[in-house]
Amino acid sequence: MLDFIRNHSQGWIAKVIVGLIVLTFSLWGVESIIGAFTQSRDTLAQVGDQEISRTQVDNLAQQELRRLLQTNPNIDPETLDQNLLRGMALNRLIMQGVLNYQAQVQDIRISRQAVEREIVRTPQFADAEGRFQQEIYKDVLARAGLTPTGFRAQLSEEILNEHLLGGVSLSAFVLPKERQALEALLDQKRTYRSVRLSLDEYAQDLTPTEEALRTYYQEHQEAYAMPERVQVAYLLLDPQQVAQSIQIDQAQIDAAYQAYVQQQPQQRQAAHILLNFTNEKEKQQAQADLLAWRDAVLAGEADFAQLAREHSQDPASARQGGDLGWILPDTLDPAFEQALFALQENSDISMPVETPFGLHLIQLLDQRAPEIKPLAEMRAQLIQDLQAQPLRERMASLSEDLRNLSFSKDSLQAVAEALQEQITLEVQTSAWISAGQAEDFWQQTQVQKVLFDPQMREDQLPSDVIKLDDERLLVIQHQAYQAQSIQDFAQVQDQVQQAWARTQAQSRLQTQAQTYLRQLQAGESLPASLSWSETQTISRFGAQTEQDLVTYIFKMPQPAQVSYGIYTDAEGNVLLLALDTVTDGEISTGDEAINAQNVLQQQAQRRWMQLQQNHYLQVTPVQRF
Amino acid sequence: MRTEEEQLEAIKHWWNTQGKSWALIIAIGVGAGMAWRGYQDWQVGKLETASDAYQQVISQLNAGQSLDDLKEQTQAILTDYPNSLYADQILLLQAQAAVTQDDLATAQQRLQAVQASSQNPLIKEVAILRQARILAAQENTSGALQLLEGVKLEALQIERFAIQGDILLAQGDSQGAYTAYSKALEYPNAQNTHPWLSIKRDNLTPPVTESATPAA
Repeated sequence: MLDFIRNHSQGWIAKVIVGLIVLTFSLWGVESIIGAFTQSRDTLAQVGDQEISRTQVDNLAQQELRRLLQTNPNIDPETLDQNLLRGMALNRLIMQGVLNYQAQVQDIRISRQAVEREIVRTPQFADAEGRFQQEIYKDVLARAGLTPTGFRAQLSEEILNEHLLGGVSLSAFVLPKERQALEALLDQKRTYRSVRLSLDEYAQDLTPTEEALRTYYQEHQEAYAMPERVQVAYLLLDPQQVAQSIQIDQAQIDAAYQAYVQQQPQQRQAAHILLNFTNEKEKQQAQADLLAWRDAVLAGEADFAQLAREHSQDPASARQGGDLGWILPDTLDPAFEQALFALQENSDISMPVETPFGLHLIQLLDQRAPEIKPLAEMRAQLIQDLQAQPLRERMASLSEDLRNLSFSKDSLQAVAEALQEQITLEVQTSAWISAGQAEDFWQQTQVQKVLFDPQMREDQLPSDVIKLDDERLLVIQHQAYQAQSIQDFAQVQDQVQQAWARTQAQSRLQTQAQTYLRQLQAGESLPASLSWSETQTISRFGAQTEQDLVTYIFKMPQPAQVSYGIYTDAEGNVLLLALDTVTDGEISTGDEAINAQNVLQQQAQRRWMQLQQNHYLQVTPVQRF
Repeated sequence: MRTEEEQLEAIKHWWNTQGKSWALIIAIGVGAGMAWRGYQDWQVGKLETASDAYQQVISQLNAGQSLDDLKEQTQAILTDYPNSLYADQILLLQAQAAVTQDDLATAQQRLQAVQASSQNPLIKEVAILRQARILAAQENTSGALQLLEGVKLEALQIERFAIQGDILLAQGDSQGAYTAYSKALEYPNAQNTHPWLSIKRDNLTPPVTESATPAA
């Protein structure tokens, strides 16, 4: 073949081949040739020739997780199944890939201008007059953490989806006849009567033979299982114990108390009059007014509160005669506070003060000495504060040592001995701990994980350091283990007898109920001891009766005269039921009819979105790896 | 080693004998490529124009205008891009508007037009399903049932059986309806897409082969 090409290199074949290569390059670029040989191993799925990579899936799953945590702050991220999130993200990416593929097949192309028009039309990006504002647009995107390019791509994809799926969904309709039929069905009313057969009455005079109980026990062994149990040795390192070893002397406490006393803020109650200004002239006028009022009040010719009510341009406080209430330091504008805290006596008034709000006149109304607790009361708190820093350091070094020793020593005793110089730890032995039924700190998830880890059990070595919810540190070592076991018959005989009796009673009751049902269906009546209840009327979605009973009654065959049924409730009691009438629901009219029609139409639109997606997913080549 | 002059001479000789034809080949290759690209761009441009026209209609519909207000634009799409997905969707929307105005004949006619002209198998069958419901509303239940036979796509079978159930029930065949609803309920997610389906079924008496009383 090569020889052939070389020999004819001046002939037409070579020219055609070279021509083809040139054509390929000019059409699809270099990647078309290189790309054909590089298939990344990171691909999770392929839709058409579009690959979906692990990175894409992880990114989307992370986004979803963040969104989920933002909207539900109570969720513990630990409990979320990462693989489930990833699976959902992959499915979404595949669906999007399918829609993109189909858009390509169906010749849908979205122009840049269409995307721009959509952006300009979006109400969120418009100002008060409804005009698009570049500033608002950028601002909204930035707050949502989107780049303009990313947002355009997203929008373009949305338009694409709408063009592919929107029409079929939007054009869904509901015919009035269809609505009426559905209303007649959903608002249907049924009337029934019932006779209650109580389980208790069928539980009397049941005397079991031991053999019957043993058979029952054999058949229901899983009900008498004991969960697996472990017994462990353990060390607990308690920060409070460590804290006791950190000595704080009286001088330190005194110093800390002094610092505390000085930090207690003095509070002041103040009133103010605020005047705004927009230019220098107004400012001077405001300044003059305020000074005049100040003089008048100080001379006893005017009342500050009255002036505030009449003139202050801070409407909230003006109504209170300018009163701002009690003010803590560092809560208001610095210039304002400086002026306020410079006032000496109650009812002193400051000179006009300028802040970003305007010009203020401030009156000191009252002062409150700081609330200072006596040393005796503060002592414990101060000691704890003083210990905090050294305690953190001690705990850091202790937990590091504990971690290393637990790893290198093969018994807790040896760990405790090695730590003896620093702290006295005692090796303790736990009671038997059952899986899922532990008490105290044993029930914490991180502890349970180690307790019932088969590998840990086999190694019989000290565990890693486990941090408990209250900051204590725990190391355990397995001592004894009992696998899940079935309790002996003798141990559970009472339980078995109760369960057996209940089953017997239930089966008696069911047999009796079936007999009554056959009699009723044959047109006979019930024994005189049983009497039917009053007739009751129920609707499908009413909350009058337990939902399971409603569902059952609405499943009963429609009666020619009357139809019968047997319903067993959660406690095992039986209701004999007689269904007397079935009445169609009322058909709505006027506005109500329009509403109902709209609701059903929206339902149909959602349905068509779903059905189309199902269809396109089925007819698009999707490969999962 | 040849001298520089000899090399130059060789190149000149090659150019005179072969080079021109090579250059021509390359020029043709590049030219053909660019022409094809240009053609594609023109095609894409045409598709984008169609999409723009449709997008205008949709955003005005979403803004609350009726299809009647947009006669000019929709007619332009139907004439300029016949048989396109956009034309299909406009026809479906016109059918819906006709149903809203209780003009079932026009609705039927629009749906027939989509069924005949659409290149998209899904939309063809959507048109069939909707025609069947309109026929049934006009009491032509046998015609409706016959139309439903033409629904072949897997994803639409659930909708087909659900409608079949409604029509059979309207005909008075409650056992047939029960069977049709049951078939529809066998599809995954049926409760999601068709929330009333199980209620419709449970309201009917099952065919005699099944147990006479519902299970507890």
